[in-house]
Amino acid sequence: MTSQVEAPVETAESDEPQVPSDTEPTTTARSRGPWVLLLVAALVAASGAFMWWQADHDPDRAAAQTRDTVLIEARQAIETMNTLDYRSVDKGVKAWSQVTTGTLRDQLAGVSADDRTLLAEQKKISTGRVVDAAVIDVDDGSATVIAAVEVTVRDAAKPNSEPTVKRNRFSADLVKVGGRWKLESLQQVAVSLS
Amino acid sequence: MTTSTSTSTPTASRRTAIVRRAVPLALATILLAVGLVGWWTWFDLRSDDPSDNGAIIDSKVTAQVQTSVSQALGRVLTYDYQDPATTEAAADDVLAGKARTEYDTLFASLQQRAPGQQLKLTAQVQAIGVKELRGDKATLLVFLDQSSQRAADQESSVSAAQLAVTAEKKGSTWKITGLKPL
Repeated sequence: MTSQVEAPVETAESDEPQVPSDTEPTTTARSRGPWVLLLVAALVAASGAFMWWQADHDPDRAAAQTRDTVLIEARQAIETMNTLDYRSVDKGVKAWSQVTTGTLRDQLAGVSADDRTLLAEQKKISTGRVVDAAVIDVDDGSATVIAAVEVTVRDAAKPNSEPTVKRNRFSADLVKVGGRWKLESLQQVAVSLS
Repeated sequence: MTTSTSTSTPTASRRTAIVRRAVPLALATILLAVGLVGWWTWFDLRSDDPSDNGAIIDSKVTAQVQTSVSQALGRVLTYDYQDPATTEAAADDVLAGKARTEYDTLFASLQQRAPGQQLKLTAQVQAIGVKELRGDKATLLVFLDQSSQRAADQESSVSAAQLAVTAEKKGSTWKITGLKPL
C-alpha cells in the first residue's frame, strides 16, 4: 500500500513539472492514498480495541479465574488446617487462624494455653495433603469446596514406629476476606446412607 | 541538480503536500499500532483462557454431568446377589472404555463369592464436584458412601470412599470412562 503511494510521488518530485494532463491522476492518487490508509488503520484500531475490551470483560473468564483461585487457596488452607507440629504448636495455631475467618476463627482463638501444652506433650507431627479437590459452588464472595485429604501422623514419642496415614473427606465453605479466600467452616463428610 | 533550479513556490507547495501526507500517515501508524495491540491482547487472553474449563461456569452441563455420574455410580455399585442382572445391565448402560473392562473384572469376582455370602451392596453419592469440563469430557471428584450386608453371617459394614472419575459424553448421555479410588 505505502510503496504504491510513494512510487508516483518519487517520480513527480525528481522530474521537471510535467504536462498538466499527466500530473492530474497522480495528484488525486497521492491525496487519496493516505486517507484510504487512515480509514483502514481506523478500522483495525476499532476492531482491535473492541476485541481487547471484549476479552477483558468476558464474565465467564472472570468467573473461571475466581473458581481456579478458590481451588488453589482452599487446598492450601485445608492442608494448613490438617498440619501441626508438636515442636511449634504456637506457630501452627497461628497459621490456622490466618487461613480461617468467622466462627471457625473464633473457635481456634479459643485454643487455650492448656490445650497448647497438651498438644505439645502429645509429641505428634501431623501433615495434611490434599489428594484431590473440587469446587462445588462459587460466586464473587463465597464458595464451597470438597477435598480428599491424606493426613500423615508421626509419633515422635515412638521414633521407630511407622507413621499412620488416614484418609478424610472434607467439605469447606470459604468467603473472600480482604482479597484472600478463607475457611468459614471445615467439616468431615461423614457416611450417611439413607 | 534539477531540484536546485526550482523556485520558492513549488517548495512551499511541496512542504504542504508533505505535511498533508505525513499527518494521516502518522495518525494511521498510531491507529494501526493500537489495533494490533488490541488483537494481540485478545489472542493472548484467548490462548490460556481459564473458561476453556467449563466446570461450574457452564452450570447447565455441570449439573447434567453431576446427575448422570451420581446415578450411574449408584446403579453400578449397588448389587444384590439375588438379582445380579440389574447391576450388569446398568454397567452396560453407564460404563464405557477402561472403566467398563475394569468393572468386568470386579464384577466377575463378585459373582463368585456373592451367592455364598448372600451379599448385598449399596452405594450412594454423598458429594460430587466437577473439576474439569472440556467439550464432551469431564473429570470429577466423588465422595461415595458404601454399605455391604452379608446375610450368610449377619455381617454388615459401611465405608466412606473417595473416587476420581472421568466421564465422556456418548450420544446424549454421559458415561463413566474411568474410576479410581483415591
